[in-house]
Amino acid sequence: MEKKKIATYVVCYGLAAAMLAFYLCTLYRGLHPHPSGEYRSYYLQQELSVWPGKDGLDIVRGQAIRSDSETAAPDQIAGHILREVDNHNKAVPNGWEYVQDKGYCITGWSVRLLFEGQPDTSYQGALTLETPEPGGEVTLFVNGEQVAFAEVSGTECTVEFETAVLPKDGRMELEIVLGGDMATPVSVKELIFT
Amino acid sequence: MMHSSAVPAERRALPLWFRAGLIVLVSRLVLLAIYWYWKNTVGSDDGPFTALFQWDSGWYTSVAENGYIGEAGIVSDGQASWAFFPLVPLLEGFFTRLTGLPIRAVGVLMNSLLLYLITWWGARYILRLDLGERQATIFMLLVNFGPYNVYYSTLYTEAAFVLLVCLTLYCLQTRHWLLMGVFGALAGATRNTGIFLAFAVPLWCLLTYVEQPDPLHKKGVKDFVCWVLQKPRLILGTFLMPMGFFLYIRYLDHLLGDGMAFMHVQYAWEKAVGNPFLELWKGLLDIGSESFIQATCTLLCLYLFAHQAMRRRPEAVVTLLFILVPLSTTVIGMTRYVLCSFPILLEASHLLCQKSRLSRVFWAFFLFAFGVGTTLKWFEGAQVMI
Repeated sequence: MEKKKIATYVVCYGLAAAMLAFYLCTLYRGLHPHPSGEYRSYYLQQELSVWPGKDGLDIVRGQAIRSDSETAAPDQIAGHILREVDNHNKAVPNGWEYVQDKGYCITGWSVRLLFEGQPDTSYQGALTLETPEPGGEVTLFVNGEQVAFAEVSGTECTVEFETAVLPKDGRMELEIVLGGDMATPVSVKELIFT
Repeated sequence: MMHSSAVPAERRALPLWFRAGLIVLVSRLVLLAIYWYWKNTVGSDDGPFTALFQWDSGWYTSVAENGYIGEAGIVSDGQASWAFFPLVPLLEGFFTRLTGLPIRAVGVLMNSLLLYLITWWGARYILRLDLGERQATIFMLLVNFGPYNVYYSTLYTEAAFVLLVCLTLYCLQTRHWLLMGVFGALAGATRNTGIFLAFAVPLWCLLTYVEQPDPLHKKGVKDFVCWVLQKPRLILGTFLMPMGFFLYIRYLDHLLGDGMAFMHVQYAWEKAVGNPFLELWKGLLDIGSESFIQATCTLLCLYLFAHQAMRRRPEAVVTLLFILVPLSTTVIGMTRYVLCSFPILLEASHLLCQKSRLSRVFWAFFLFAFGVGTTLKWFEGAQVMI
C-alpha cells in the first residue's frame, strides 16, 4: 500500500512536471513568434491597413504596381500602405484616400509604403504620379535616406530613384513627401522596380 | 421499509435523465414552432437547418471541412479561421464525414445532443452541490427556454463549452480530479476562456480547507500547502487542464510561426485588449444603442457574480473571468458570452428559486419571451446576435 502510494506520487508529480515544462516551452515560443514578414507587419506590428496576401510585400522586378483596387493583389498598392499604428481605426490608411475611377490617392503631405526585397540588394525604381494641377515637389526616401527629388512642372511626373543596399530583413520603407504647395489628391499611376 | 421523505427526490419523481430528455424534446418543438412562425411571417424558403446557419457558422464550417489553412487562408480583410478554437468544428467535421449528412444539419443535431447533456448534468450538479430539486428544475428550463438558448442549436461552441465547464466543476467538487483535468483540457480546446477554469481549483482548495473541521491542527498557510500537495491526483488534474489550450498554441506556432495567432488575428476584427471596466462604462453611456443593451446584461451578470461570491461558491472566480476576459476587447457580443455561461446560469437559477411563486411566474414569462425574441433575431440574421 505504501509502495502504491509512493508510485502514485511519483507518476502524478512526474507527469505534472513534464506538462509544466511543455507549457513553459510553448509559452516561450508563443512570446517569440517567427512568422513571415507580411504576417509580422499586419498582425503583430499592425502597421498595414490591408492584408497584403502571402508573399504580398515581395518586390517583383519589372512588375508594374498600380493603385486602382482597394484590395491587395500582387500588382496593387493597397497591401503596401503603411498606417499610423496608434490610429485605432485600422481601416483608415493615413494620408491616403480611395477615390472612385482614380484608385488610391495621396491626400497627406507624407505617406509610406512597405516592401520586402532581397537582403544586401539594391533596387532601381520609377514612381509616376498624377496631380490635379501642375506645380509642387516630390521627395522620396527609402529607409530614411533621401533617394530622389523632383519638381513637378505638369500634371504628371515620373520620379526615378535608386535604393541603397537593403538590410538583412530585406525591409524597404518608401516614403513619398509632397511639398511646394502641391495640389492633392495625387494619384499613384504606377510604381515599378527594376 | 423506507419512509418516503427519506427517499431522495430524484427517485420519487421521474428519473432525471428522462425529465431532461422531455424538456429538451419540448424545447426542440418550441424552436421548430418559432422557425415555422418566422418562415411564414417573412415568407422565407430556408429550411430549419439553413435558417439556423448564421454569422460565424461559416467559419466553423470552414474549419470543419478544410481544417486550418495557413496564410493562404486569410481573407482580404485579414480575418482568418484560427480565431475559432478547434474542438467543436473538428467534431462537427468528424460527424459529417461519419454520417454523410450536411454539416449544417450535423451541427444542429450534435449541439442538441449536447444541450440534453447540459440539461441532465447541470441538474445533477445542482442536486449534488447546490440547493436541490427546485433550482435544478429552474436550471433545466432556463437553459432550454431562456434568453439566447438558440445558440445551443447552432454550429457555435456554446453548448459544448457550457457542458465541459459544468463537468469540470462537477468533477472538481466531487473529487474526480483526473476527469476534471480531461474535461478542463477539452474546454481549453473549445474556447480561449477555457484555460481560466484552472483558477477554480485553488479557490475550491481554499474554501474546502477552511471549512473542514480539524480541531487538532491549527490552520495556516504551511498546513494548507501540505494539505494540497498531499493530493497528487489533484495536482496532476490541475496541470492537465491547460493542455488543450497549449496544444492549440503549439499547432498555430507550427502552422504560422505565431502561437498566439488566435489573439493577434483579433486585429482584423478591430479588437484590441483594453480595460474591461472602461468598455463596460462606454457601453452604459451609449444609452439606447446595442452596446447599451449588451453593457446592461453584463452589469446584471456582474451582480450575479457578486451574489455567488458572497455565497462562497468556487464557481465565482470562473464567473468573473468569463465576464472580464471577453469584455476586455469589446462590449459587443457580451450577452452571448454571459447568458450562455454555466456559472451564471447556475447563479441565476439559484436566485430565481428563492423568489416567491408570483415572482417566478413573472420571470418565467419574461425570460421565455426574451428567449423567443432572440431566436427570431437569430433567424433574421440580426447583427445584435453576432
